Amino acid sequence: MRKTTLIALLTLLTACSQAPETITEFDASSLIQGELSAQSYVKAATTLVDAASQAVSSAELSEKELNQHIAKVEAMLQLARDLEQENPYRAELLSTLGSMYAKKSVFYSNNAKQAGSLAAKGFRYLDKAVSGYPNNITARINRGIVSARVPEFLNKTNVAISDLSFVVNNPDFSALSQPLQQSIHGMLAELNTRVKHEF
Amino acid sequence: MYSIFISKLIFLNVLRDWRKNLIASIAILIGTVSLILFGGYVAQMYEGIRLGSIYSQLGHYQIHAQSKGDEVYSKSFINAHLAENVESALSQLPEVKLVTHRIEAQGLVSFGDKSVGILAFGVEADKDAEISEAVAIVEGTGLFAEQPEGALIGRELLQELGASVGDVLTFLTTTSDGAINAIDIVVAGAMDTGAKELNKRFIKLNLSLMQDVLYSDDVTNLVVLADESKMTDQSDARIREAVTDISNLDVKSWSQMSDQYHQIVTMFNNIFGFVTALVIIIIFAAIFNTMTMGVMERVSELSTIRALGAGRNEILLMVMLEGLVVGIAAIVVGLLAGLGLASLINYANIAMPTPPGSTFSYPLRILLDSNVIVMPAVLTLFATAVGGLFPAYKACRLPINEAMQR
Repeated sequence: MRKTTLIALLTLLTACSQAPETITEFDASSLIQGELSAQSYVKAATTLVDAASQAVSSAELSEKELNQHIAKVEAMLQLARDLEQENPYRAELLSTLGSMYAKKSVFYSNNAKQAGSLAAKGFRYLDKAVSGYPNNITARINRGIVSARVPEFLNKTNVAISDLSFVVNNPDFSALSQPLQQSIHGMLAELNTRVKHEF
Repeated sequence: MYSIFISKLIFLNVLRDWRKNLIASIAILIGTVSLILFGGYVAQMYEGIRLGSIYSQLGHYQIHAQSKGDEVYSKSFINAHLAENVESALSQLPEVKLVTHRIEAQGLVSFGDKSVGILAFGVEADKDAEISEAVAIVEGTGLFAEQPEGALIGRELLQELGASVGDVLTFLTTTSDGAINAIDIVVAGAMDTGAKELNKRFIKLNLSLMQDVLYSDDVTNLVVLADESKMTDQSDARIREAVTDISNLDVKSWSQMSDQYHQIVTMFNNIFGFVTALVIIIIFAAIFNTMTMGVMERVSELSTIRALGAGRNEILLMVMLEGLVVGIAAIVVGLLAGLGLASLINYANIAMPTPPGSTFSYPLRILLDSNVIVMPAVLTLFATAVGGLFPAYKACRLPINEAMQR
């Protein structure tokens, strides 16, 4: 009897929609080592993007951790805006931020509106990165992978194929790590099969 | 003490006829589950269409110049200064998330030797992206103010023109003074609004570019996106007052603008009403049958209870409560089973076929709000009570002498 009650309670709880967890602000200057310059900014941004990318691909990532990464990347972008400097790492930061918002939607699978809103926000950042920096391979990889992974009803298959094909045909593709190269080839093959099945 | 005895008697009677009661319970359970699932599906569909309407182009409210009458799209302009004032007044309301300026115009778009008549929206790119969350960018990128000449083109329109992302199209329209003007636009991306017919005739440009081609800083409408978590019963009046206090502009809610939503709701309410009536009849018949049989089989026993001094009302209550105990138990199990099944369906992400006229398939989801859960419970309980009324009445009217001789 207790077991049944517990199961019923859990079912009810999962059915209830969740409120979005808030993202607290972060001081980006604490990430910069030494004097703030274009070089130190890029160094800090690279570290940040690498850490965020690893976190996004981790299966054990919690929403709280993801929010912390989002706050850091947003703060980094804000820092460049505040300084009115040309941001040399903007495409990478924007597209990583987009990937993280899209990833965040996974935590709201029982709240379609919230999940859709987060995915849309994610794609807005990803689109912004690709629109502003169409030849940036990181932006294309991020948007391609997110587009390939979202549910089919979001109609992102063509965007995924376009971005991942661009990446594969890019001269810098060979410089990517072997697992990433294989993963991209695998995704492209799967996407092409999906398109063939649609027709 | 007496009521405990009667309660015990009721439970023992229910357990004694467990086979018959189980059959009735299964009918009630299936009925409850069906009503939860179908009700939840319909509720989710209403919510989906509502959100789809709001987040594809309508927003929660739109403000137009009054001279446009009831038409959705108008060439009546709102003065730029007035539009700023209205935006500022609305932005002070806590429930208003954003206010964006828009120009809706008609014109021609040409590529090579092909020209197509279209509906064009001039929008503030970042704000419009929040209002257009339901519009999918299926190729290229969204619209950004950093690329003022960029344009989002309906997917089917882009195919019809034979153009692709990056191509330059010519947009031709009439200026605010009625003259003809044309500009070049660059295809930033292809969009899917969800409606094939709209995709064939729809483009979006940056507001600044649209104002350039129209030779005007005015707008045709303001679109308001509300924060639904902060909306109260007074919000609608407050939003309307904020506009009418400083202007004679016309405020329309998404509900007033979306006839399609109301048509669909009416149609599905009729279908749901019919299905609910069928389920209720089945539940009524199951309880009626089980309890009538029970009473018929227990004539001697009920007469004996009467002979021992129990009143007619006590017998009526006892038999009715037996039916209600079976009903309530089945409803509770039905609710839990319905909730469990609904969660399972939501988790399974089952893709539904694309509806006619639409371009989106959508995942099958069951919305579990209080209406969806309470309504089936109340209706089935009502059917159970009514179904048990006649057998209970029959039981209490049994003549003691005759009945005891059987």
